[in-house]
Amino acid sequence: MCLSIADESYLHTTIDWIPGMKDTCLMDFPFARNTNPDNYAFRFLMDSVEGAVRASAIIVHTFDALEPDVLDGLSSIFPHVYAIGPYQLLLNQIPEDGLKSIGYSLRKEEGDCLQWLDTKEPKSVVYVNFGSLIVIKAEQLVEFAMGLANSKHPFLWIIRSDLVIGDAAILASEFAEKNQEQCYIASWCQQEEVLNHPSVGVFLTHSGWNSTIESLAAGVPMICWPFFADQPMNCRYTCKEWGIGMKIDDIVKREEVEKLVRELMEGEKGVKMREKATDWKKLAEEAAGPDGSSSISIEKLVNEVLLSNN
Amino acid sequence: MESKTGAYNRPHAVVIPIPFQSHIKAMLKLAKLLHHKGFYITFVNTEFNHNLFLRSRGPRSLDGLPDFRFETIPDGLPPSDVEAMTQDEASLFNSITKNFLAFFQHLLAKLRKNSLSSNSPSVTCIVSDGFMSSFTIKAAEEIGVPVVMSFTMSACGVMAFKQLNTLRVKGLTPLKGTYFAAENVFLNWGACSKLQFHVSFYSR
Repeated sequence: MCLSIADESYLHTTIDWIPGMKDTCLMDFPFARNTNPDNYAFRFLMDSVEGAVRASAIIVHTFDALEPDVLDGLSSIFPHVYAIGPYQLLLNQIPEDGLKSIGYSLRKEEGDCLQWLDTKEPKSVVYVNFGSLIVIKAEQLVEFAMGLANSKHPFLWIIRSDLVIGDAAILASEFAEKNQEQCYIASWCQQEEVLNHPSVGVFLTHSGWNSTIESLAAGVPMICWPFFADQPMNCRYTCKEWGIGMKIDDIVKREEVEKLVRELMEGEKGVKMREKATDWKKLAEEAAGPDGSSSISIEKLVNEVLLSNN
Repeated sequence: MESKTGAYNRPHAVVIPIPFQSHIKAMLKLAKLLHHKGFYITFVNTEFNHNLFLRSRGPRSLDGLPDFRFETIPDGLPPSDVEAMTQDEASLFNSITKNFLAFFQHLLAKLRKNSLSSNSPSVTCIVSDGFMSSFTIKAAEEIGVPVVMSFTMSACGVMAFKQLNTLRVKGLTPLKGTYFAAENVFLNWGACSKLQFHVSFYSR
């Protein structure tokens, strides 16, 4: 395929030969826009996944009911596939006791945002977090900020010290100062607690997998702005297969941000997606329950693989 | 199986994520689940991330439990800026391919020594990040224990990565030609100095 790539129509090339996957296109795959055959990350990640076939088994952080067809597809490729998840719901089943002290965050988490959430109405807040790696431009930050502000809905925004190129963090804190009622900015948070807070109504996310499955497990619908790796595919499944999200255009505009927030918070689509998200939450809880598919799966992993030498 | 403290015939899982926040989080949760199933856990971080944990969560935060231990391996990269929260991904991938086998073997040898002096049970399995297969499978084979690849992703995400090779063989990736899309799409990827890297690296 030789392309002069002024338009992006090639990104819509249908990919219809993958076991267990339908209706995907090139843009849903990692590195879809890569033009460098020697791209080191491409090689590394591709080779790692190819190499994983030689292991005794693979674990996927999901549950049977969420992706039955793709899991079947993976089972035709890897020797043994164990679908175990959502991890947090499985952990909720057991007394964590001493393990509670073992936290997950490399960054300092700010707990105050939970108190701010306490002051808000049920399902009234937009929670915004683009994950631990992504870097955005000040212009993009401004489009999101204006779009969110214009929606008139309160929002909790996680702005890492290294999220934005340049001095935009100052911009953000000025913005927050002026909009104290409507907006709260924190540098990092305990996401599961935020997503499970009754005030949170929608999650504006980069569609990273931890974020997606945590949101799904909490029954919170999503607005998706995926960047790279598996995020575009997660976004496709969130929006098209699971019916709990809407995608925002790559080139973000404040009008679209406002429109999507309003649609999800006020519109009929939002009502439907919230119902759907509640359904998925129930299925996730079932999977993680004592007799659920994920609980059975981890038991099997232990006995069939991890203890196979004993 | 209930977890027991201090029983040295217990199964011992060494859990090693690729050194990124999201992977560490998911692998820690999986490790806790295995601990509940009765496993003694050794959780492996790079020194860089180990220090970030100590900084964010306090100097005692990785003391762990008697049967849930934290160990470190180097990452083979030059020392980072003290303020840095993330590392250059390309250098990291390069170092994983080149250096991590030796680092990991060294750690496994240390764990073996510990078990011989009865400080901990001997290693009985390895739970590796799916993106660390380049060295963890070999290391597991050498010590004769089963190894499982844990993907901290959805099934559709794993499938997307698994199909990259087929996409390549079919000529669908990488694209031949120069990419002229609106710069906004690309400038998502990072600061200017990192732009070139991010364009090719992340190209979504």
